Amino acid sequence: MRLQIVTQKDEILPYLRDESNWTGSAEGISFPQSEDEIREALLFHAQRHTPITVQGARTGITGGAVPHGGQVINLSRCNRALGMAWDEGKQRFLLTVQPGMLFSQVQKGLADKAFNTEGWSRESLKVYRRFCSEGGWSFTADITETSASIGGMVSTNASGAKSYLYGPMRAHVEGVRVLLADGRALALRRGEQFARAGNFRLRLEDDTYIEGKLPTYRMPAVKNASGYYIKPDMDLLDLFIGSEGTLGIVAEITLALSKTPARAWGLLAFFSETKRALQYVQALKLLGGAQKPAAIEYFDRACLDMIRREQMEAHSHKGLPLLPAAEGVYVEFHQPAQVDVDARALQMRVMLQNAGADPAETWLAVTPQDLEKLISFRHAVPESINRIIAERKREDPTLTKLGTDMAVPDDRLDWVLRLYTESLDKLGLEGLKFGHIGDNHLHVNILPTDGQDYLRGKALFQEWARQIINAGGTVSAEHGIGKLKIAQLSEMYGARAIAEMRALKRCFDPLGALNPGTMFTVEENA
Amino acid sequence: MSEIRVVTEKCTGCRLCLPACPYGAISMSGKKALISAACVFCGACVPVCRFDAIELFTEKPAWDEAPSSSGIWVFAEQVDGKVKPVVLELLGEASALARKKASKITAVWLGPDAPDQLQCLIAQGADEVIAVTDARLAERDELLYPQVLARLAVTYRPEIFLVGATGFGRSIAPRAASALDTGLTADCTRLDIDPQSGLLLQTRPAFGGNLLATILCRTRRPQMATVRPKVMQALPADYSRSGNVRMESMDLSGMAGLCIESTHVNREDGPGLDNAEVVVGIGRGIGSARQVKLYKHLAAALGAGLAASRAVVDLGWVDYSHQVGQTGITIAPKVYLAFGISGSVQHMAGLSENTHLVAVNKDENAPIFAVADERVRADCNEVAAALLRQLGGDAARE
Amino acid sequence: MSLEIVVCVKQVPASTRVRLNAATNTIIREGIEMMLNPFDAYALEAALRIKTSMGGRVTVISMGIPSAAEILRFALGLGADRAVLLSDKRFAGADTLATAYSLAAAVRKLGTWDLIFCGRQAVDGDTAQVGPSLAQKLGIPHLTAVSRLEFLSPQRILCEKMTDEGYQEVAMELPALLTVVKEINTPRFLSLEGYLETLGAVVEIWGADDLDLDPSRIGYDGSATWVMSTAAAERCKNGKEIDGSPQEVAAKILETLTQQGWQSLTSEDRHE
Repeated sequence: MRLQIVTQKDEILPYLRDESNWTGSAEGISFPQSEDEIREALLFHAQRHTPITVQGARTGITGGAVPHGGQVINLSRCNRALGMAWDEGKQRFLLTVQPGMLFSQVQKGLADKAFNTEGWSRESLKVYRRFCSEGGWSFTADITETSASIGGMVSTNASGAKSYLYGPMRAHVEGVRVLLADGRALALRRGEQFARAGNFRLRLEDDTYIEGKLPTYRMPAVKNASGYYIKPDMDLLDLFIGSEGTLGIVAEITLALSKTPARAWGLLAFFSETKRALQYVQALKLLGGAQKPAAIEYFDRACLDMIRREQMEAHSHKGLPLLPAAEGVYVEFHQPAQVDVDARALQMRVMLQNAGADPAETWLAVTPQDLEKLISFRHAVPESINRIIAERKREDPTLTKLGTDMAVPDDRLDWVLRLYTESLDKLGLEGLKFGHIGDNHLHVNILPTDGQDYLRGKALFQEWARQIINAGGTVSAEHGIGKLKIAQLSEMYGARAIAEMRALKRCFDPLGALNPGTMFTVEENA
Repeated sequence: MSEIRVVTEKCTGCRLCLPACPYGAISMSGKKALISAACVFCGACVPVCRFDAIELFTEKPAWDEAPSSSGIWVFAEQVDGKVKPVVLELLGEASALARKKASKITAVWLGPDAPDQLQCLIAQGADEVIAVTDARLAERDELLYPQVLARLAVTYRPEIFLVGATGFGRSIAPRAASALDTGLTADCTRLDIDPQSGLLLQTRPAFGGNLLATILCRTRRPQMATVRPKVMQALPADYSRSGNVRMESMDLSGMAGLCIESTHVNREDGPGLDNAEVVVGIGRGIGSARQVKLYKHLAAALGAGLAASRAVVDLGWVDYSHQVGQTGITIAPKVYLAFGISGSVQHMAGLSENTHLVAVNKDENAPIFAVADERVRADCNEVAAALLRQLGGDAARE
Repeated sequence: MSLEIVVCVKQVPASTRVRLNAATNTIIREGIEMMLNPFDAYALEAALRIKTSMGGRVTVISMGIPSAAEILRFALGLGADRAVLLSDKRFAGADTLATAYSLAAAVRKLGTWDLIFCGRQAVDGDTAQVGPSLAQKLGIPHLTAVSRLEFLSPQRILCEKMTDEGYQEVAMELPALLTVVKEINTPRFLSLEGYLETLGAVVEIWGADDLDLDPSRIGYDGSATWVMSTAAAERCKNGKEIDGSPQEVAAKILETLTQQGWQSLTSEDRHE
């Protein structure tokens, strides 16, 4: 095989981890740069019955990219844009990219109108010229960690704050090329192949077929990234989005672009009580249609306290005035015109007053620079948490961050917030709650001070998972299952559903060669 | 009166001129281009129009109306009696200019006294030194100095007056220029003499360094410019050169000064960015504040200075003293290892053209690659970690 | 005791990104958004804080095109009391000398002033000249790069200013002009209430005829300097590509360093 496999231990070392705290093991790693090279590696390993873990930018936090022995196929060098097309039906541009291309690179290429178009077809170049001259098109999927790869985003059906309005990654994928474990290729476009009443017959590129039954479970009616996306008459493209690389290697992705909204502006409001913050949030959630916010985010008092402490002690977060001792709700709007901004602002004032907040004590960002400041505040929360954990880890290496990624249905938001607050209080655990409250999806991070805290925190999470599943929620709303949440997946859907998911995987990957240990434990793999 | 107009009969509404204006002064009024009062008559739009629909009438610089003046002056900025390096660079540049237009080069020294080493200014290119000494000039007083300089300029009428664009220089030069009612161009990176008119051509970065504007001072004298440190070349000292050091007596009693209560000098830890031979630079591409530590270790392992782009400083990942660029400091190391730096012209403006630049960036299209001596299109953190390992260090993972 | 504080602000392009169209060798400016010059936000914040702590009135002045009224309304929303825009075709094309002259005429028309704040420099012109020139025209002392300010008495201030070597503490009698750097404070956000107030805000517009000045000293014709040409900045080199794994790349970088005269440190030399 031409493609090089690196086997020196110290060179493989960095690739045995991702942003979760797991470290795995692997015998070797290769860096294909094209679909052909991916196939080459696939087949090479398949012949030797070697399991494969596929990696993108390794920004995931559930261990999806952490290898469980065997070989690693790292797609970070498979990172070019391959072409553009015009979707006449939906009147929008389409951009096809390799899986290793980063989300930030796509954004930059679109903003600068500067893709490397070497090797693009004539047709692609024509469409590209049109795109460049028109201007005003962007990729409106969103993710918090912008250095994630597009392939990774497809794998986990990634989302971010603005997915409240624009939808998760799934809503932006128009097509994929997938390589199955045996090297066969599958080219799928949205709207081409569908399941029928839970059965599917998927046609591959070489005109062979894969047939099978879809699992029969119903996904909860919440923002969800746990387990396979299943609907009885689903578009089969959706099988490969959010399947965490367990069904095949996504070798090429066609993304749908959207018209760039004219103005983005944001407002950070402060509340002295959770009750009031929730009242404001519920009012915001009623805004729909053209008035729907792009994002609604929540930060509890502990989050603001943490940042304020750093402002006062470490003099960091320059550019932000001192945060008040309060809870925060951030809302962002993407509006077509100025007059809409003014109308929305008047509405906001009323909503704030109704919720007992002072419109004079809010932080409004109408310029890109101010918006940038609010974005940096939002990112500062998880970053500061990581920093604190790192410090505590130095004293006690067994400690690690404990975080949840659960979402509940609309009518359970109040309940879940109370559940989090009261149970943390009762156990005397230091917790922070923040996140995409628009989707009823809050991350709760516990900062353990010692091993005891850590164990009690984990037990608390399990109790929460049980209650949230009961309430119709999900254990993973955006991070995926990876290696860390396999037990929760099982709790959520039950043993039968897991068996059905395994059976589905076997249709595509009979030998269980792809991403062992992700979504399913390895031992039971036949 | 200068005028610019769009010849509407010729304008086809193609809109090509709109983005060509650096000042955003062109918009569309219906189907025709319209130039607003924001226009500074720079003429960037004229060649862009394929239909010759933009007409610019500017008064020809009436240099023959300028008051008579001669000589190139260089302000010999000093700290604690030591001449600043930029002064020697300016003397070198003045010599180059004098070769194109014969001029006497005068170094102007202000201080509490005139030490012997003023002779070195002659060795470095000055034909003479004018020294004003007074106890009040011991402090670097940005209210008093401009008045002294202005009075000297009125008396001796130099044609050109160069000041180093240090923080001090950039404060006293505009006040002096305003007092003289003459033109001042800030932060020049290139100077030349226009062969036709004999005027000083002053080139400086604008728009954060993305544009280079060439400026003329038409009828006022002296033509004043502040010049970026570490851009011009000092001459090797030639002690065989001769020249006078002239003490100029001046009564400063009528001049207001500042009440400077205290002066503090920063302590330097490790190789200052000013002196380091190797500098490690970090930009947004390193990803997050967490990664800064890796680069601090790397800089320490290399014995290098640590620089940062403005983005990184604004984010609070490192403090302002590390900022290199347009609104930070200028450095001239032998080697600059740029990690995750996109290479904005603002940042690059702070780096000497002679530095060997190694750029490491995941973004293939980063502008820095166009100006790098060595290009590495790869993940900067991975390369930095590998480099640190090979130096025997430890990336100290969290 | 009420201080009259003036803040000079400038509207600048939101993006200073300018590219070169290689085919036509002309400039392409990105975007049309304008914003308040970032350094001026610090100047305005300094003024607003003094208004709160010492009492006083804050007047914001800018010289610009009519749309620059937007940043002045923004300043009013933040808490400024009065906003004046110098707008007139005859002001166009002014260099820093003519700008300072025009601003000085406007400040004099305001009547009294105790403290004038300017941001250190504008991000488009980057000259940092208007502040000191304006002070000279008004005949008042100035101090640049101020990073801290306190009142010793109602008409005497103590400033900390950044120097090339470190910093200085300077005492000044008012009236005085200060240019400020980012270290001085953190500008407040506009609040929703403040924004809504700006919708009805009044910005006074003064033309050249409204001021007591010599028309031959303003605008393009009153300028001492003149832009002869503008070109995109270019620094091109024929660089060498370094490929390979991070380890191979690191090894090559070490080679380069050694070639350029770098010597590896002994463990004693290393400072951590």
